[in-house]
Amino acid sequence: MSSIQGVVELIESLYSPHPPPNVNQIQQQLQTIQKSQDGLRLANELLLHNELSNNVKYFGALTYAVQLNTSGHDDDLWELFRGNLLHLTSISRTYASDPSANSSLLVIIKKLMSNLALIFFKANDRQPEESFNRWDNPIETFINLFSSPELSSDKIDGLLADMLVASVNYQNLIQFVESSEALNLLILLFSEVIVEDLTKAQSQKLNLSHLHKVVHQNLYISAMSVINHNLEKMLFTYDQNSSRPTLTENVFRCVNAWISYTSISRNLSEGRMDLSETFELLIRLMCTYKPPQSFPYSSTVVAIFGDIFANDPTLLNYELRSSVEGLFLGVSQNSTSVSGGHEWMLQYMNYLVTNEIYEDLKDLALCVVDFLQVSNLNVCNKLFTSVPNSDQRNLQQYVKVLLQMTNFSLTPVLEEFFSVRMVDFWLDLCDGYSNLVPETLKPETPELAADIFGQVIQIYLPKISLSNKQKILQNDEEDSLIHEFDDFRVAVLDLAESAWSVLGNDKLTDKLIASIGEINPSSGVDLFQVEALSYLLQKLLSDMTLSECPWMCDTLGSSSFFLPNILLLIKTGCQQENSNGSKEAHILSTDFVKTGTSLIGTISAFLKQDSQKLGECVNTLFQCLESCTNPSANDSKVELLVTKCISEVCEMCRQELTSYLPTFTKVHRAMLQRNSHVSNFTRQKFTRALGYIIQSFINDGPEPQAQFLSQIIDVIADGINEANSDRDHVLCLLTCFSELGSAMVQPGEPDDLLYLSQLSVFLNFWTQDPLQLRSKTSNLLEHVMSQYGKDPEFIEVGCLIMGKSLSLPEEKPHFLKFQMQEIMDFMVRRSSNCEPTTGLPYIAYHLEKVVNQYKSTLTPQDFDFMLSEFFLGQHGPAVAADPDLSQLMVNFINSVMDTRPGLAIHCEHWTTFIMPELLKLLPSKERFTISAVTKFWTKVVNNKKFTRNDEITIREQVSSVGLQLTQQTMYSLFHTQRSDLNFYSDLLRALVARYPLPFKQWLMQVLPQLCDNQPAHHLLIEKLFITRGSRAAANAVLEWWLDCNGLPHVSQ
Amino acid sequence: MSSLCLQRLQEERKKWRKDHPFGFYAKPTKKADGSMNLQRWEAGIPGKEGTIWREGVYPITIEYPDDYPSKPPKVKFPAGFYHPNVYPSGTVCLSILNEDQDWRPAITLKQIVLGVQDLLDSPNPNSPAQEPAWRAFSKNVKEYERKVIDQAKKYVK
Repeated sequence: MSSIQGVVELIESLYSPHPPPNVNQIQQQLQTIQKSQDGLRLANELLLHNELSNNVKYFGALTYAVQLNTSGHDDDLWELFRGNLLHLTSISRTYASDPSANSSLLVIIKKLMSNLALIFFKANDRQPEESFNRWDNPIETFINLFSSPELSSDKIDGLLADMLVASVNYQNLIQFVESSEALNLLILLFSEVIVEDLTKAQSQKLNLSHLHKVVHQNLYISAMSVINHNLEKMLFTYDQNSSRPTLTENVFRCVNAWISYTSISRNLSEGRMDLSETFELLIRLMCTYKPPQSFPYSSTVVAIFGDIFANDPTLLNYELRSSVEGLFLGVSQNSTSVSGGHEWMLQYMNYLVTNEIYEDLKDLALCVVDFLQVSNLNVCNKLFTSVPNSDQRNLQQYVKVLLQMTNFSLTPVLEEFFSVRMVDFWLDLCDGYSNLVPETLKPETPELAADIFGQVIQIYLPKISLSNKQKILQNDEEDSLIHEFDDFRVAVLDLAESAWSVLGNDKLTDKLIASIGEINPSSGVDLFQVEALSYLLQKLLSDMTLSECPWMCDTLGSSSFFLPNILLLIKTGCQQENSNGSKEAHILSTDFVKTGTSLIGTISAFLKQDSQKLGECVNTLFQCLESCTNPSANDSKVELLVTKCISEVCEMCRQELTSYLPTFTKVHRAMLQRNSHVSNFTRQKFTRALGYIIQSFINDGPEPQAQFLSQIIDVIADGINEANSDRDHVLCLLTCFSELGSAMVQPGEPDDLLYLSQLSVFLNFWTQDPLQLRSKTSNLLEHVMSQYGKDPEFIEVGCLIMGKSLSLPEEKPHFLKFQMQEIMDFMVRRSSNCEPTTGLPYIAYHLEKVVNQYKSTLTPQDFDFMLSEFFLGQHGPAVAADPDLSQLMVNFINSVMDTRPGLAIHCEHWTTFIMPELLKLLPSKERFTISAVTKFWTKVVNNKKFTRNDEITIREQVSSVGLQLTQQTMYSLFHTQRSDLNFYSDLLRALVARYPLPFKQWLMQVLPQLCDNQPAHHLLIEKLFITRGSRAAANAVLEWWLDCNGLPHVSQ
Repeated sequence: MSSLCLQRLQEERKKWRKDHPFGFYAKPTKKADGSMNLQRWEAGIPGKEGTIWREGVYPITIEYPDDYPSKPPKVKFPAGFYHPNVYPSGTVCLSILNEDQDWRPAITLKQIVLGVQDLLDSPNPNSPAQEPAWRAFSKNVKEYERKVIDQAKKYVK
């Protein structure tokens, strides 16, 4: 072993404020010594000498810990016990002789205590006969040893053995802790360390029941005596001792540690450790009021109880909980007696509010509401059901107090938390009520429930007002409280939704509508109030289908100021956003607009019924859009919200808005100008919105509709011609065109009789296309593509426009119904000019759609053409070299195999290219390629879309390439990664199902060539041929793969 | 549903209501009879600030199997959601949601939604789940970003 002096130097350099560069090396060196056989001696030496620094001594205690964790012998354990205990006693004596001068020793003392705690666990975590002896109570052992005169080392072993079981009576225990504050503190600390470590150990080990029993029978009794003695003293003498704050903190820490331990161990040990006496004392401390500190212990005890109520409320027995209830609420749900202790609660709240101690007020709220939640179900049953022995008057008084508490008169989140936390209480009460069996309800219950939840909603409406958010914004420099307030609003929305099931439309939705409608916009509207009402209303209405609720539309319609107030909300939001650049104004105005536009979007089915209101609404939205599209705006969210709202209204009210088409087209024309300030998103969405209206403009036949379309196409074309070189603007205009095309698709199944009657006229019109819109379109596209033909974004949007009607059934008219040849020509031109990696994918997706739409008219020759033109010709080398493009091609072939496999099977490329090349692709490395290729072969082997002719051809071909296919598949499977096995399993299942006899032969031929593991091969074949489900086949394949790759099986 | 599953889901709901990350929402759906369906939740994942996802709150559904928490829940975005690790059906491919990978019964709802939020801006290159987003993410970042930003507008916060 290195000399002690050498080790000490190493330790000092390790803990030095400026450690040397080789600190890691030093650390490793010291760790080696700690773990060595000399570790024990080293630890002893380091702790023995007073002249050594505390760092060195701490390292000594740490070395004991290392030895403790590495040693496995009983003899070692005794040595460790002996060393730790003696050093603990010795250092504790030094500490107690002058606690303030020696306070730095506490860290060493704590480590030694922790070591002894572990020894205590080890001693009791085994059968008694194995034990190094019995050790019942470390605190008593410590007291005994501390109180004994120092002995020579030859007598110590005998003394220690006696002390392991020697007890200390209550009188001596109290005498010991009373003898000095330092000793009191040491006992508390030792008790705290043991139960804290035990709590940690419990989470790592399963069966500690014997240990818990020993703790319960011994340590618990000593610890509770000391803790309760301290708490009692605090009740009477707290202000007489200036040095007590440290001790007080230690007492509470010790209490907390015991609460945590009792909570986790009470279900794991025999008997129950009762902390009632401690809790009673804590309650008395909580209520202690002494000037000048006012409430010296309240906040700490409230935090302790808060933790208990949140995690394990039944730690407090029924009587104690009743007593707490009386204190918190002044009324108990169970008895008529009103507790005088409530006076404390009122004074304490008053004290916290007056002194603006909001953090403590928040803790109190958390504690109270967590406490209330414990008996939520009980309250629910007593309030609403006919359970016997419930005093109704008292209960109603109880609820009244809860309502008052919810209505705490400060700003939520910023100043008070009662209303915030009570949301959960009311939500649970509401859910509890909704889940009650109707037969158990009292006759007056529905009325009572409606009354309570009606009041709750009334309380929360001003609480969620954005005026509170404004206060928070003015006070909070960070955003955390704002987020908390937003969360609070969302929680109240959930509450309102639940409350609706109690209150229904008449007592909630209708009232909210009426409240908005009662506010006269001409006499100074409180927009914050309108916003809060609208915020809740939107949520409730979004759960209904307004078009199927005429009575609700009637309610909305009868409320004269309803719509003006909502529109005012949006308008004000937009104006504020535009005029005031502050963060506060920005956030609030965005909230105004969001609530207002969401509500308008939600009630668009109502607007559909009232053209005047619809007009009013659309006009306002246009004005708002104009005002909020400020080029200097740093955030386009308001514009986005308004645009989305316009789009929603137009989609729903398309027919009712046809008379506005001239206005819309005018606005649209202005919007599409390059110098307009609107965002590209707005341009595109507005074009779509306009498209919705044009789509339903059918009363006068197809020609007027076509005229409008023509105008819009002209505007787009003019815009493109004027700004040819502005790539982003041209792309945006082209996207607008695509949006127009999308909007012109009739939504769902048409039920409009007028439309149905004119269907053939429209179909015929668009076939003729007298205004040459398709020709205009393709000319425009060619013009754009001549400049941007290589740009993949243009290829994408071009394909979208050309293929707009590809998914439409034959009988549905559409102005962009191009002939297949026109579409193909367009794609060929795009393909010839594009960069395959980025451009070809868009063309390929489109090609799939073409095949799907025209499958009945296509021929194998057409398919040959497609393959040659898009994948094998010009782009052949790129497709062959790029796995993504190869996979793109395979996916295209797969889509044909899905829709009409005959097209592929009978084409020329099938035997010359597809089959041989796709065999080669089986052992790919890329997951998507494997997925596509295995899918292809699975479809070749087993395909329900095969005609008889296809089937004959395929059977012959598979039989001829079967061996090769099996070879490639098994080779690929063998070399693939585990996560890709399933792709191949599906193919194997298909082969087993369709070619059972030959496939077995092929397998028997192929498998031995892959690896020499005959039993695994045999098992695979056997299992594959008897399993039915895909999971069983996958398991068989996995087993084979693991066996053949020499990997261990993991139990399923 | 087993009592263990029910107990755990009630616990999850309680925990979530008491403490959840800002900007997220999560709540059990309702059955047709109005009662709560604890096995199917609706939740919202806000895109992280400073990323191309920031403008949106993305809706997900979380379906808990009968043998939860032994088995992980299934998390789905709307079908067609644009992200390299989201299958075309909307199912999220994330290791902590995979029974054979990192799922542990102790994983909470909060950890799941935070995991999904992380995934949004940090796709996992080892678990591609949909071709278009995956291809764009690996080959055409500009296109990928444009589509993500467009999608964010659809789910604006």
